[in-house]
Amino acid sequence: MSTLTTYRLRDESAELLWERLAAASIGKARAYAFEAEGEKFFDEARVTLPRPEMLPDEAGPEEVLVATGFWLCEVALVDEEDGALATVS
Amino acid sequence: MNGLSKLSGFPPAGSPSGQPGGGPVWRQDGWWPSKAAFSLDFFVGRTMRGGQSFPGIEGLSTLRSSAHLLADEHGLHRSFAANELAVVPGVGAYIGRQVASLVANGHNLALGNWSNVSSATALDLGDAALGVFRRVAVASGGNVNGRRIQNVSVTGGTPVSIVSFYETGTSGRVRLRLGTSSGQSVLRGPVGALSVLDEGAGALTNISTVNLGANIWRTTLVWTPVETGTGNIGIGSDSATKGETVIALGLEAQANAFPTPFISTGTPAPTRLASDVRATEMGWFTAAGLAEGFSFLFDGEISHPANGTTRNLFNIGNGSGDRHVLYIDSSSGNLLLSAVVGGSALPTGNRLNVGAPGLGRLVVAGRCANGSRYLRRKGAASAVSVATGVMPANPAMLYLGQSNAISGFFDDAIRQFHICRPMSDTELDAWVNAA
Repeated sequence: MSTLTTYRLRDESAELLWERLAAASIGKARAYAFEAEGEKFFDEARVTLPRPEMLPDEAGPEEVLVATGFWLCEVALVDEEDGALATVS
Repeated sequence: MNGLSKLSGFPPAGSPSGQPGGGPVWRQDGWWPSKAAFSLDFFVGRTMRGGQSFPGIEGLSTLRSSAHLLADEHGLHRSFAANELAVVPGVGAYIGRQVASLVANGHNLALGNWSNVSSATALDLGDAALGVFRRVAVASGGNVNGRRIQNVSVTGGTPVSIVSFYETGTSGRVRLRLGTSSGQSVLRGPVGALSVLDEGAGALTNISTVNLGANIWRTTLVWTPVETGTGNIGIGSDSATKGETVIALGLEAQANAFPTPFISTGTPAPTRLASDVRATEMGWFTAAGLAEGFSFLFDGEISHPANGTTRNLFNIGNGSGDRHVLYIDSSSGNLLLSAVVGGSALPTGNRLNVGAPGLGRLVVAGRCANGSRYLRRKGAASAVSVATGVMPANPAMLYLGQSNAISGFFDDAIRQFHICRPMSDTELDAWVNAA
């Protein structure tokens, strides 16, 4: 039975999330976020692509969600933990 | 012969036998093509590497930090654990991008994530279907719009794919309704003969309904909402007669421009991560003497039209260094064989082009060798180049269904993939035509 460890990251933009994950990738055999031929990528096999954070509108109906202005992504690791991610998440 | 046993007379473990004054001799003694060094038959579920046949898929590693569902041709779903290749006999291996479900528990409409509207009622029938779904009877309360719904957050102009499974109920009809505050988009009618009633909430395209046997159906479509905000998706019996039912099995909206395998079996709405599938142990490549050139044979499916993203069939080489790449171009939709040499991709004019594949089966074969490249797609003319072939020395990696940047996924099922010693144009044509 595998153990899944998930780290959630929140920041003001997708670009900032990429930078935090790229920093957490330094020295690792496989990066969470990286550049290839001038383009920036996330490791889509382990990192959910950044999405706007949405929360219920306090002034409106509960089912109506509004963007908070922050962005979210998660890193999911199978049978593995990463102290660097714990620090930045 | 079932092809699963070691065959007499075949050189073991990738060591070609030799003949005085001649090159290595390979015999087509097994299920794999002549001259193959590494054969992956996902459709049947077997592998040949270095002349030895294995039951199951060997020699590939899969990294994906989430589970994966994949259905056979009858809709029976199998669940694959994290880091397990999703491969089903009779279908192949699905290698795809990351896709988020916009609903929770789309596999079980009896759960509290779903609610009734327009006087509908829902009855949990208490049993399962297709390996993953709960059977739930959704009954009309006398209103043709009665249905079981869940809210979804959508963005105007961004396509959402709807994937639904259902059984014929007492109404003999079904209604799939997608709504936002701007209106509704409705696909409805007799089961097996649905038609669009309304597109007020956005266009409905790429509609496909498949009978999976008995009274079970799968309908997929792409909804492009007009409006940004909270909408909902729902299923009902499309009947104004109180008590008439449809049996809902599964319903989900995927944040993607084309339907992919079902995702939603949990709360909150889950994301299926991408499948990173590659061969990292390449000893078979050098053992087979392929450093000066190789051929490949690819057999897969194209289930959705070109959508503006690159779709890689394979990528072999040295990571971001020199490599050969077979891909469907994002802008033209053409199937191209390219190479990166000395850090630069071949000029567009030097990429072999066999045109845009249509929907359905895709069979393509080719050769990458120093000074001699060839590409042939079933149903298209061949493309030949003799001037631009360069082989990366000792390739470190074979990426299947993706690029070396863990992107550009094939997003469909691969039935077979073979790497062979260089084959002649005639041999490649014969394989393509016979497939």
